[in-house]
Amino acid sequence: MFRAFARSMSVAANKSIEGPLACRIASKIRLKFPAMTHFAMYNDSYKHAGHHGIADAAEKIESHFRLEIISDEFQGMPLPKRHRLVYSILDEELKSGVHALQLTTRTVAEQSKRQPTE
Amino acid sequence: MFRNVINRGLLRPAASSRINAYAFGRCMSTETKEAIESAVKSAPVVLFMKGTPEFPQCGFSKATISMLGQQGVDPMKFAAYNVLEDPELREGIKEYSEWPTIPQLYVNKEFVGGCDIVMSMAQSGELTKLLEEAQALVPEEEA
Repeated sequence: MFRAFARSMSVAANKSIEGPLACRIASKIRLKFPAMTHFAMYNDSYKHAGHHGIADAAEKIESHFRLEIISDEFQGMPLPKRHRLVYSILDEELKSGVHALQLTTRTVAEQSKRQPTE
Repeated sequence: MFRNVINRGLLRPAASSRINAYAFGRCMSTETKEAIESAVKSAPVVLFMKGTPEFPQCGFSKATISMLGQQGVDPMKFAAYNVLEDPELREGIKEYSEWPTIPQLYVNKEFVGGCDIVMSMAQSGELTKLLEEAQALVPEEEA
């Protein structure tokens, strides 16, 4: 019990994906991509803590996220359209502190084509 | 000065109505929109970034600049705008492109994408093709 608590504390807040914004992002993505076969989220805020525009920003703990979404909902969409779709789903979060969102958006077929090289 | 450059007939017809509707909805000033339009067409390759190519102020802007450098973009055909110098540009370009983050790359007035898209296009070879078609690369040396 104590060990579990200690482990959860060992991740810095600006690296954690259990904050309120992270949870909202994850639940919105899961809701909007029911066909999703893979989802991963990384909080990269700790990498950017000191840089321009962030040093004086209100949201430093949950400012930079990286998402991997593998879903056939992206079928037939060019990349900018896929990213715009995700941006539009997360519009509220982008306006309330999320400063950067790195996206990997692939269909299942595109992902399986990449596997041998990765 | 910007006003002289603007000729509404030159705007892409498909994009202009969408952008106008968007601008009215969000009240981006006409001056800002016109300044962005003239910036977008100031060179074949235009990057809106944080900081300058020499001193990028953000990892994503830095990565995008270095990818353009690796591709061999001709400096004569390239323009970079530092959004940190101008709050109106910083907000305006997000509305104009309907894209919430910086950097943003335009080639021949067409929005290409942000850092992730440029990276993925560089890996797949699409970026080289796009820049070649735009004749934006330094010509190969004829030895």
